[in-house]
Amino acid sequence: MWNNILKIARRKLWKSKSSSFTKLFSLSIGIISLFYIGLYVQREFSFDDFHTKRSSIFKANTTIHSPTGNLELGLSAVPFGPYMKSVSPEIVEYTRIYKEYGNRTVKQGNALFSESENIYFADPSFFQLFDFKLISGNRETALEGPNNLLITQRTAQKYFGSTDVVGKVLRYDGTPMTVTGVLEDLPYNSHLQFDFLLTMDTFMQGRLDDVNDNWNWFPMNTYFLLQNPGDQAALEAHLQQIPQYQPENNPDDQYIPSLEPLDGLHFSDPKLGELGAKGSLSNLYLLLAIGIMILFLAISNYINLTTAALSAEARDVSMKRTLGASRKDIFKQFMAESFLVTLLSMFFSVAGIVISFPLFMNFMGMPLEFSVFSRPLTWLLILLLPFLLAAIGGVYPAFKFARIPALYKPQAAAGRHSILGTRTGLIVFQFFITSGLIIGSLLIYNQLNFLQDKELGIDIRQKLVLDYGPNSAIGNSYESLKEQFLQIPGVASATFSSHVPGQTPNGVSTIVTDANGNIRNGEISLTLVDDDFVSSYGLQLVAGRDFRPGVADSTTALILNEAAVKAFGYTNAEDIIGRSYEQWGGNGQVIGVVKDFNYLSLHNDIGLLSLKIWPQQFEKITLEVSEANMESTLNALESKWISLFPDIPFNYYFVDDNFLLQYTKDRQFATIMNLFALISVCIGVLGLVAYASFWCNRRKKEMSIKKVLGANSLGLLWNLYKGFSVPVFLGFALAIPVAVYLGNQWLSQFAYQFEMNWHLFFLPMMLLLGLVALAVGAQIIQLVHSNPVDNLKAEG
Amino acid sequence: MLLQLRNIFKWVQQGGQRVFLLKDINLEVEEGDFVSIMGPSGSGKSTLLNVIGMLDDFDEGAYSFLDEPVHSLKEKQRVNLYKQYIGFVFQAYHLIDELTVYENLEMPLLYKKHSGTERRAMVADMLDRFQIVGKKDLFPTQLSGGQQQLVGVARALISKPRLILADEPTGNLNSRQGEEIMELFKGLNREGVTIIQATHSDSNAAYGKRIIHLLDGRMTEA
Repeated sequence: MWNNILKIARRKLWKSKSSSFTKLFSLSIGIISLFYIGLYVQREFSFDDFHTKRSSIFKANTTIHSPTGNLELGLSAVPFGPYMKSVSPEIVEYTRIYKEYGNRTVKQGNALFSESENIYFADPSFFQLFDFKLISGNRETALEGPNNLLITQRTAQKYFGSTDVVGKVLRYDGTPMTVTGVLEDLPYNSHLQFDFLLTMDTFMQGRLDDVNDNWNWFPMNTYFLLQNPGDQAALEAHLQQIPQYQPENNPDDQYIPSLEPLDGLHFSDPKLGELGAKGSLSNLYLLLAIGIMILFLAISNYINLTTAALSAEARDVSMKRTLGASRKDIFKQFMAESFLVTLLSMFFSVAGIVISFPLFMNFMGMPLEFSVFSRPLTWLLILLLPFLLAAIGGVYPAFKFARIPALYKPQAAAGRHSILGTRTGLIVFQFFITSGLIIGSLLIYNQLNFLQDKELGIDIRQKLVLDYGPNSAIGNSYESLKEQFLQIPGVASATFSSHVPGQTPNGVSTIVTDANGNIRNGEISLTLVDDDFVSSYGLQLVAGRDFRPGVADSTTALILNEAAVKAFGYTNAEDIIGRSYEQWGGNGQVIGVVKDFNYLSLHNDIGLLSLKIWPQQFEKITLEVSEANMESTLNALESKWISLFPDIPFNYYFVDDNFLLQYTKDRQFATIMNLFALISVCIGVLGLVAYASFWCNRRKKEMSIKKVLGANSLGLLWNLYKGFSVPVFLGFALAIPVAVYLGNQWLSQFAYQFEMNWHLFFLPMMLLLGLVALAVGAQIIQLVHSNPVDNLKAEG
Repeated sequence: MLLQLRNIFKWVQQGGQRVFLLKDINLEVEEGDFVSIMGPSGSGKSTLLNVIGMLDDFDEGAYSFLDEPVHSLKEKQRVNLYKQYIGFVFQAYHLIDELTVYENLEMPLLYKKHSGTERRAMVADMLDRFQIVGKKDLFPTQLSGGQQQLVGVARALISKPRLILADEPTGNLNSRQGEEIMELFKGLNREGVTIIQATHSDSNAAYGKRIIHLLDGRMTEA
C-alpha cells in the first residue's frame, strides 16, 4: 500500500515540475532561514553559560542621580568590592576588572603592535569566579604581583610565535612585564573579551595612595560570587548602607549601587562602562517572528498550489473511490504526498545549510566548530520538522481531497467568484508579510542614510587621526610636533586631543559657581583638546572666546557646549562666561560656549560636553589631509612618524569612517532585514508564478470561448491582472499600519529620526504591483493571445 | 434477483422548479443478465447507472441489491457493498497516468487489503487473460485508446465483481476496437458476470439480452 502511495507521490512530484520546484524551494528556504535564526538566538542565549558558578555571580552597577541628569553606570568605585566583602556574609568573593581604553604599544623582539579594546586588569580572584581555561600557568597565582600578565593563545602566537611563553617578557608601553600564564582563546560567547589580562597590582602601581579611598571615581567592573543566588536581595539591602553613599554625605550627587545577575547580563539595558557586547531581546523576538512568518509563507505556497490542483486531482480521486478507496485511504495518500515534499525539503535544507554554513558563521561571528550537530535536540528537530510541516501544510488539502465523492461534480460557478477563490486569503496573508518586510527594509535604509548624511555640526571630512595612546611626553611637546606635521605637504591643519568625534569622552563631576556663590554641579563629559581643536573641527562659538595658544589657558580655561550650559541652569550662554568651575584636572574659569554638535552617534541626544587643555592627557593627533595625493601624504606621514617615534606603531584612521562604526550593528540589522525581505518576495512571487501557470493552463478553454464570443484581449488581460493584484494590494494595505507601528518602535532608539512620508509606502507598492505584473504577465498574455482553435479542439 | 429498483425518482431544484433526472424507474435485473440502457443525451442513462452503482443517491423509491435495502444504508456500508460486488467501466478509461498497467490493475486489490502474494497472482492472471503481459510496465500514455479501455475493463474485473456497470464503454474507440470490447463483454456475460451498459449505439445494444429505453428520465418503449 505505502509502496504504491509513495510511487504515485514521487511520480506526481516529477510530473508537475514547476509546482514541485516552488513548493520545495519555498519550504527549503523557510527551513534554512529558521535554522540560522534559531542558531543566532541560541548563541545570544548562550552568553557566559560556560562559567559553572554563573548562577551565583552578580554584577555591581551604580546609578548616579545628578542635577544635570541621571547616569546608569555598569561600574563601581575601587574600594567598593573589598568593602562589601568585608561587611557582607553573603559574599564569598569579589573580583574587579578594569578595562583599558585607548591604544597601548606592546613590543616583543621585532613584533611591535598597537593594542586597544582588549586589555583588562583583574584581581587574583578572577579565576575563582570565571572558568577560563589556562594552557599554562597557575590560576591561583598568575594574577599576583605587579608587572605580570596573562595573554591568550593567539596573542602568544602573535608576539612569540609559540604558546610556551610563561616566564618570558614583553614590553607594555615600554615597561617590561612577565607572562605568568597563557589562556585558551576565549569562547565567542563570553562577554569578557580580552587578549591581555594584567594584574590589579600593576594597575595600582603609580596610582595615588588615595585610590583605595576614592568613592567618587568609578573605574571598576565589580563582580560578586554569592553563597546563594537567593542572597541577592539581602546583599542589595547592604549596598544601600554604604556610609560614603548616604545622602547626608553627598549633597550634590546621589550614588545608588545595585546588583544584576550574570545570567541576564547580556540582555539587560546597556550601561556606561560595561564590558562586552549587549544583545537585544526585542531584536531576537522580531527575528524569530520573521523566521516563523517566512516558514508560513512557504507553507502557504504549498497549500495554495496543492489545493489549486484539486479539480485536476478530483478525477483520479473519484476513480479511486469507485475502486473502493475510503475517505481515510485518500486522506492517507495526500498526507503521504505532503510528507514526501517536506522530507525532500528537509534534505535540500540540510544540503543548503552545509553549503552556506561557513559564510553564515562568519557573518555571525561564531566559530565553525559550533557543535549544533552534536546536540541531540538538533537531530530531534531535523526528524520532527518534516512531520510538523506536513501536518500544518498537508492536513487542509488532504482533508479537502478526501471529501471528493465517487461521483465528482465540478463546481459550476468557476467564473463567478474571483480568480483565486479560496486561495485569496492565503495570498493576502503572504503579501501582508512580504509588504511588511519590504516597508521595514526601506524604513531602515532611509534611517541609516539619514544618519549618515545628517549635519553633525562638526566637520569630520578628511580628518586623519594618528593614535599614539597615553603618552605624556608626546603630549607635552604637542606644539612643536604640530609644526612638524604641518610642514608635510597635504596637511592643512593639526590638533591634539584625548578623544575624537565618535569616541566616548571622559565623564567627570563638575561644579560651577555663579556670581552669588551658588553652586551648580553635574556629571558631564570632558574631552582634552588643544587651542586648534575648535577651528580644525569647524566648531562655532556662541559666547566667549576660543582657547589661546600658550600656557595661560592650560588646565584652567573651560569651554562648554550649549547643552551643558543649560543643564547647569543658565538660560543665557553669556551668563556663564567668567564663572569659576571645579573639575578633575584643573579648576578655573569658563571662557567660552560652543554650539551643540554631535560628537557621538545619532542614537543619542547631544550630551553635556566640556573642553579643556591638558597636554598630558592627549592621545591623538587629528590632521586634515587633502584628497589630492593622499598616498604620498600618507607615506610622508609614516616616515615622519617612524623617525619621531620608532617605538610606537604608525596607526591611523579617518574620523568619518570611525564615526560610522557606531552604526555597524544597525547596518547588520539592515542587511538581515533586506535578506528576509528578499526571501519573502522570492517565495511570494514564485508562488504567484506557479499558481498563475497552473491557473492559465486550466482556463485555456474558458479564455478561448470568451475570445470566440468577441471579448476584447486588452479587457481580458486587465481583468486577469486585476484578479491577481487585488489580493496583493490588500495584503500591502493591511501591512501599512503594522509596519508603521513596528517601525516607530525601532526608530525610538534613535534620538534623531528621519521623517516618514508617503514615499515609504508608494515605492514598495509600485514594486509589488510591478512584480505581480512580471510574475503573471507573461502567462496571461500568452493565454489571452492563444489561438482559440488550438484550445477548443480537444473537446471530447 | 440481483437488484431491484421500484418507483425511483431523482430530481434537482432549479429556480423553484423541480427538474426530474429520473422519473418512476422500475427495473429488475437477475444474475447473468445483460441489459443495455439506450437513450439520447440527457435522457438519464448515466444517472441511472450511477444510482444502480450506489455512487449517487435518489430522492424517492426503493432500491434493493442482493436483498439489501440500499436507500437505508449508511455511506460506509454502501461503499463496502459496491466495493465488493460492482465493477465500473467508464467511457474515458480513467486510468491513473502515474501508474503502470500492472500498478493500475493492482489498485482495487490494494483497497481490499489483499496480501502481496495474492495481488501478484491475481494481476498476473488478469494480464494473461487479456493478453497484455508484455505491456505490464507501460504507462497509460504509452497505450492506444483500445488498449487503455482494455486495461480499464481488466481493472473492473480483477476483484471478481458480480455486476459490471459500463457507461459508453466504446465511446472513445474506433469501430474495430469497440467490437473487441463488446465481444469481451459478451464472453464475460457467458461466464456469468451480470452486465448493465449505457450506450448510444444500436450495434452495441444488440450485444445485450434486453434493451431499456430512457427519455427525459422516464422509461419508454422503443
